Amino acid sequence: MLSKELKSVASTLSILYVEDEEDTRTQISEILRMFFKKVVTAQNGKEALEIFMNTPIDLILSDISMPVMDGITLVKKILAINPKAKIIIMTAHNTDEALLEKDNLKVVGILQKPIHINKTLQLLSSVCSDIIQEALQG
Amino acid sequence: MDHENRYSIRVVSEINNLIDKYRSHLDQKTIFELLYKKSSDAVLIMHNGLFVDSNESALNMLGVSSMDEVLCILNHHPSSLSPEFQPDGSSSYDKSEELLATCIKEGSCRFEWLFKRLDGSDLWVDTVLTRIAEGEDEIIHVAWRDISTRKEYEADLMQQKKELVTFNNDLGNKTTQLHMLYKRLEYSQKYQKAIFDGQPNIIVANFNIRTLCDGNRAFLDFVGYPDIPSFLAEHDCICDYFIEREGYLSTTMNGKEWIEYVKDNPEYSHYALMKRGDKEYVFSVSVNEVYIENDKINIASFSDITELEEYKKTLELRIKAEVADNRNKDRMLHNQSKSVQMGEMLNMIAHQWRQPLNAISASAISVAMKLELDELEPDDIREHLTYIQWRVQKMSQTINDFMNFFKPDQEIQQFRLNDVMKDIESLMKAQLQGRGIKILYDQNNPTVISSYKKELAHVLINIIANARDAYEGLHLDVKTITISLTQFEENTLIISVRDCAGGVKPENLDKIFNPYFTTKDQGKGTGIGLYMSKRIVREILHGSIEVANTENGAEFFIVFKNQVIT
Repeated sequence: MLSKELKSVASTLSILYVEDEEDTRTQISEILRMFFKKVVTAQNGKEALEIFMNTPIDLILSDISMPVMDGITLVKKILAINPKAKIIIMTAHNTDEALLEKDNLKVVGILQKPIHINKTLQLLSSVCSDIIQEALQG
Repeated sequence: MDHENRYSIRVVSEINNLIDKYRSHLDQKTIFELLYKKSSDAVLIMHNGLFVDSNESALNMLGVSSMDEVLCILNHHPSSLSPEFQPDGSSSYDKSEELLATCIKEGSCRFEWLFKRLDGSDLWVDTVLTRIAEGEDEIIHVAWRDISTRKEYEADLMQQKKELVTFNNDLGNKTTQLHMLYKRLEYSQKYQKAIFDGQPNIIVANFNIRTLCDGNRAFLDFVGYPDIPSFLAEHDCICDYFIEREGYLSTTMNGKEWIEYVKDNPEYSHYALMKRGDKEYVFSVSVNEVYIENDKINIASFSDITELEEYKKTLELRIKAEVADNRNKDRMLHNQSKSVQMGEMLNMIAHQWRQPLNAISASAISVAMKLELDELEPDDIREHLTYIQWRVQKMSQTINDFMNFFKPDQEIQQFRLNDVMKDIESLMKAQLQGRGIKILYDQNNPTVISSYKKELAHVLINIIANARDAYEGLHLDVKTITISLTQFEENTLIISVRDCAGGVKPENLDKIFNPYFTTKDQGKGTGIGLYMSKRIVREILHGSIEVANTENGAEFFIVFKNQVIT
């Protein structure tokens, strides 16, 4: 029962979801809302960065190819502000992993689009657990 | 001289015989007188240098006919019966004195002498003087033989000899002249022969049609005979060597002898095939007709073009190979361009499908999650299922659009810029949006284009895809591709596609439309797109395509004419 497990660890956390395609953004954010206390959405990297700097966010879930500012640039900028920021990347291209490694960008997970629900729930659960653990340790 | 001696011996022996015979009957004096008077030989007696007696024969010889005339001889010196000078130029008197002296001294003496007959004519005699008595009374016996006839012959002979010498000299001169003429002729013949033989072409002269009468060195070398007679011993004509084959001369052509055939068809080139050893030689043949006196001579010239023909053949083979190679390359290019198009199509479909796939997946996940969390309402199910069906329909439509689009146009259509750009956008929107690239054009451009719409769209897609790739990796706030249409005159249209992606390196401007030319990373570009675009513009739109750099990018121009709908 992965969904119940995620609900237990994520219900106190806030997530920033970045996706340029409207339909997908609507669908995925609806799912995230079933688990997270707070779901904030952005259409591109630039919007997401503004939200990140002005709103307390525990976890970022971002697409890579987006207009205005793409996911890679967003990751770079967020990590520059907070190297411990927890970011999960969603991508349709399996070559994007190489782009992250090239710039030595540390993300907590990479999800292939279209997302596989069990893998997604597992990853989100483990990342949320880590966040809670870290918060408890202070 | 032998003859004369034999004659004298015979006379002496005859006299002796007679003396022996008549000795008993007659006394010696009588016998001698008889012999002296009646002898057929002319005999005279000299006393003290003067003639004192003569027999009948001697008188006859001198032409004496009367006793008076006898007195003209007797008691005369021989010189008075002679011309003043003998033919050798000496004085008759001096010479006769000298000879008489010799006779007296030696006992006898013999010589030839020229007398004058009484009628003044010449008398040549062979004279033998014999001393009979010595002392105060010198008596000399003189015997004559008439040699006038012989002398006449001699004179004649002399004259003839003279004439012969003159003639000979003349002949000598003539011979020298002739010799010089002959030398010149010989030289001129040799010279002509050298020219004839020096020709690298085979030249043969035929009497009338078939019979060979001469051939040059090249001919003899080719047929392998030392001279013309040896050739003629076994052959009549060079045509014995012709190899009969299509396209080459044979002994008879259309019922005519080959020489006649060549002469009658001067507008064609004629070739003969001949074999020497194992090798076949090709000759170009020409024939000229000449008349030497009344004989018709056909001069045929054979020019060896074997090497040329071989070279021609290799060249033909090479051209064939090149053409085949080119055709292969063209076919390969065509196949490659097909796969490039397929790749492009797959790429576009993938981009178009990625979002609906994500959305459908998310929709299904949403229902599944709600069910798991016991939050699922019947309306949720209805809503998501409707959404999924709608999305799937759109995806199916995308495939149809692409399939349609990549089928070549069958006919010329009339359309506006907006129509073709809408088609392109529907295919490329997804990938361009994902990269933040905007396509700009005047949706209300009123110009009507009359051409192959899909082919034009292909070219535009290729150029737009090129601009899209040029923007890859560039961090620009604005990425635009601007398409504009301008009409010149009535039928000429220019569509320009302009980007701001930095432009083409100047050294590549010339090569950008070459097949397999690409500046993209390995594996990304094939170098086919722009090459195929150029061919489509040229071959289907009957136009041209150019590229130029702008301030910050590249601009492509497609120049073409409206086509008439058939």
